[in-house]
Amino acid sequence: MQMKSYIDRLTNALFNNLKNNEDLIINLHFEESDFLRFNKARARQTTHVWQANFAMSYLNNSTQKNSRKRFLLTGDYEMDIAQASLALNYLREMAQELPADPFFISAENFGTSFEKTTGQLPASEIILDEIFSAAGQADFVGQVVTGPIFQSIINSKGTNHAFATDSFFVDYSLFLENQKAVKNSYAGTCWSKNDLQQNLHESKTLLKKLEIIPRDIKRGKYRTYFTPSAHEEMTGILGWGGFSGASFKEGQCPFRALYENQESFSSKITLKQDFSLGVCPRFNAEGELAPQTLALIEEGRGKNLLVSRRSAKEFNLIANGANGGESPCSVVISPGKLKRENILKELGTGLYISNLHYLNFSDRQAARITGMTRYACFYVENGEIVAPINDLRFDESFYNCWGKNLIDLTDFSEIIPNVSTYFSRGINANKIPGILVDDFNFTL
Amino acid sequence: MPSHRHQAPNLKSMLKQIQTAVGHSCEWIGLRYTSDDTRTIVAKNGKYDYSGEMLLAGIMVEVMFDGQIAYSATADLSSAGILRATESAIKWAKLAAPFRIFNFTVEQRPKAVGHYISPHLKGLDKLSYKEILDTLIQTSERLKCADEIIYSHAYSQLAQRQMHFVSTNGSDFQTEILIGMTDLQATAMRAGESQTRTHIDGLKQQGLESMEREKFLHIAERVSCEALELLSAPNCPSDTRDLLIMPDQTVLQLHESIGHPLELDRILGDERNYAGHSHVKLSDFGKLQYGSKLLNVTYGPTHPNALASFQFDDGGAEATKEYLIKDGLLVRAIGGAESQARAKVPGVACFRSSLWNRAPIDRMGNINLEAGDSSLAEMVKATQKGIIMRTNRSWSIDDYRRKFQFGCEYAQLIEDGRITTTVKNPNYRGISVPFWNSLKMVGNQSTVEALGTFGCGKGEPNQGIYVGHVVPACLLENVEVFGGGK
Ligand SMILES: [Zn+2]
Repeated sequence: MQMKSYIDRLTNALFNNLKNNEDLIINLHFEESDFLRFNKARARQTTHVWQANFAMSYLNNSTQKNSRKRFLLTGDYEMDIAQASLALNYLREMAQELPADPFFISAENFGTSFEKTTGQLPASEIILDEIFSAAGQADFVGQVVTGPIFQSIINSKGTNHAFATDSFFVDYSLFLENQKAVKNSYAGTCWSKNDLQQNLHESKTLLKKLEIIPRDIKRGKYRTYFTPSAHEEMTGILGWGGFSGASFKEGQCPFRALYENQESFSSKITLKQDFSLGVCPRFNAEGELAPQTLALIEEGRGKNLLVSRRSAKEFNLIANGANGGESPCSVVISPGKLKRENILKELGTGLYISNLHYLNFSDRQAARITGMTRYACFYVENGEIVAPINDLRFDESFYNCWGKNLIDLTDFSEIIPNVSTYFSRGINANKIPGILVDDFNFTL
Repeated sequence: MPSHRHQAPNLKSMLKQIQTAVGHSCEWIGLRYTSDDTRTIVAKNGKYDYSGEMLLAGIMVEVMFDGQIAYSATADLSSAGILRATESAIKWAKLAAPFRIFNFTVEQRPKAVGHYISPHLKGLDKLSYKEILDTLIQTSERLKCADEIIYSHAYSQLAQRQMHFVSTNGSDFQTEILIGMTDLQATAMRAGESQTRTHIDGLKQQGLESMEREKFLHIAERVSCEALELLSAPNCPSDTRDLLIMPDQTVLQLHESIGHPLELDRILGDERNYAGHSHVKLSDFGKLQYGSKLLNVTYGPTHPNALASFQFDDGGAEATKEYLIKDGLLVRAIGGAESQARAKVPGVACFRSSLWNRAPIDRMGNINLEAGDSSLAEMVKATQKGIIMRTNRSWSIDDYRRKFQFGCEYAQLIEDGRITTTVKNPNYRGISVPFWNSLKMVGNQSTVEALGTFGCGKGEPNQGIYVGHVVPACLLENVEVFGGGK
């Protein structure tokens, strides 16, 4: 089914029913996905999902009222237009019952675009064989997700932005008998058996290093290297109000002191939202296009907060294309000068952390976070890996590890895909370098 | 207001059609129709903020071929749509069967017939946005009682689930659940420092009758006063002392350090790539002293009003109350029929899917900590050097569910059996099994609250689900506590 022409036809018909003072904003997320779940290199569960999430925002420009409803399309035009028309009538009644929106934002024409990536997805018939042959004897656990995704935002003022991609990811871990494990992922739009095998081969090579008896590390401050994956986990938590204009005004922004110039990071920290990565759409749920790049932190100083049109109106700020949640997409942290071959030498004696787990703010006011090490993490002495470590808890402020304790960032970055699949498949990715810091605080 | 609802399909006739068309090519077929209708209504700073509705309804087809179960979800409820989904499920069951992890049989899909309706007085059909918003706007205004309160909200969510399951071995059961929840919050700020207090009211199975204006206004006064009080409170001390956790923190402590590690699919390794593993081994059941003699944890699907009460789980197993930990001893796992067959340890009826488009997995239902016999006053009196912590604001635990750290919004020191100073930014850390073995006193029925969590995350693909916890206040000995700051 051609989702683009289908949704265009459906919304056109719907917009024809609008009165002069009314607007509709439609957000569609469509996916046809296969989720294949594995444990111990066996098939645990398979789920096929066909879903078209249809979100309608109704605006009455005379009364400054709005109402919203989200439901699922069936793919049958007659049924869908009937359902959507009923919903429109319902939304009119619902809006009538609601108060006027004190920060009413009208629909606007933000232009049209259609970005499409056609990929080469693996055929159902070959995928399991290729996974199991690449995994070999390893204890392979994780999931393969594959299928097309289509997203669009269309409004009655003429906005029509669409984004279509064929994509897949293999998100997996390999485990040893001693419970030590390596985590990795293989993602893209064109499936290649060779790339999959190469990816698993690299993981198996790293897994060998974990066969040594793991060491218990005492709590304390350690010089620590975080791989791009681990560093991405750390920055991921900043999606939780870290750069949000509304959070700043409402007392929930962990970087309040940074944006008020009472604190700063090392001048080596520059963090941007950068859509040139091309992994996720630039348009937000209202159809507004975000700038191609927007610096949030520049050379250690707070530069921009993300501001949605609604926050702009409420707090008298300037909007910059942010989505309603004001969380960043396509985050890029500028690389530093640390070369791959010098990581262990520069680390000297300390900890090498490949992955982190279950992060949370321990004191949001102090930009302080806690979390656990996970998977392939090592104790390093005089530039040599000595042994894997048993998991450690950390509790540390960004003002320390991105501030006075930052030694350097790596001169290379990795694109870390978003593999989140709550409700529907996410389509974001961040490009993050590794980071070497001093005196990182491990507490348990 | 007439609601824009989904017409539930005739599943029995659908199943017949499918059986005729493709029934010969698999061992078993089940059809689950799930409709989740969620209303979210918010007032902020004494003004209207948001209202939205979400209706997610579709069918999950389950088929079994050669011991492998495959799932296919579709929102296309036409005969052709369901047939297409069934064919896709059969295709995947056949492809995966040679690599199956276990040879499942219909024993894991027992015949279940019944109808569960959650207790409520006023259903969604009685919802008046105007009425609820009047209450929420007034409440958020009351929360913003002083200039130093820079932010307040009153947030309500009403969620109605309707589920119907039929199968080729005669299952035909329905579950109708209505959940109501209101979250009141105030943030106070002075000289660049902010403090937040939150109250979650009624995270349980109930209807619109829970939206009581007078109750909310009363709570709002306390919440905003406490937010202001925290602005002048000293930081939580860093030392070791007895910890008294109130129900709105006990919930998270129980959830993370007992609930998750007892999940059988985690113990079997299914979750090792995402949610994590468990420190519990299959050989620990019947042997591991998980906590002190005072620790009694049950699976409680029949608890009236608790968030995750039901008659049958999504696999059709009948849900009954069972002890998971009895007098501190680990006796039973949180695992449904599939995991029980794989692991050969006793479990419970807890095989649940979060939404119409997700396969069921082992989930907590209602995981409850049974009340003890101490009043709150007795627990305070028995404490020489201690701290009371209320309302979780931060949670983190390792992938084996051993080393945890929690933070709360509000705490009070206990000195020589008396409550003294209020302190801000309270946190504590510990290790699950030693922590629960230091359980010294358990609150009696007067301290118990029915709470839970809406978005317990797990599974590949990911699933966020509501789970209930009916819990008392608990007193633990010698816990490492600390405050905030960089
Ligand atoms: Zn959970």
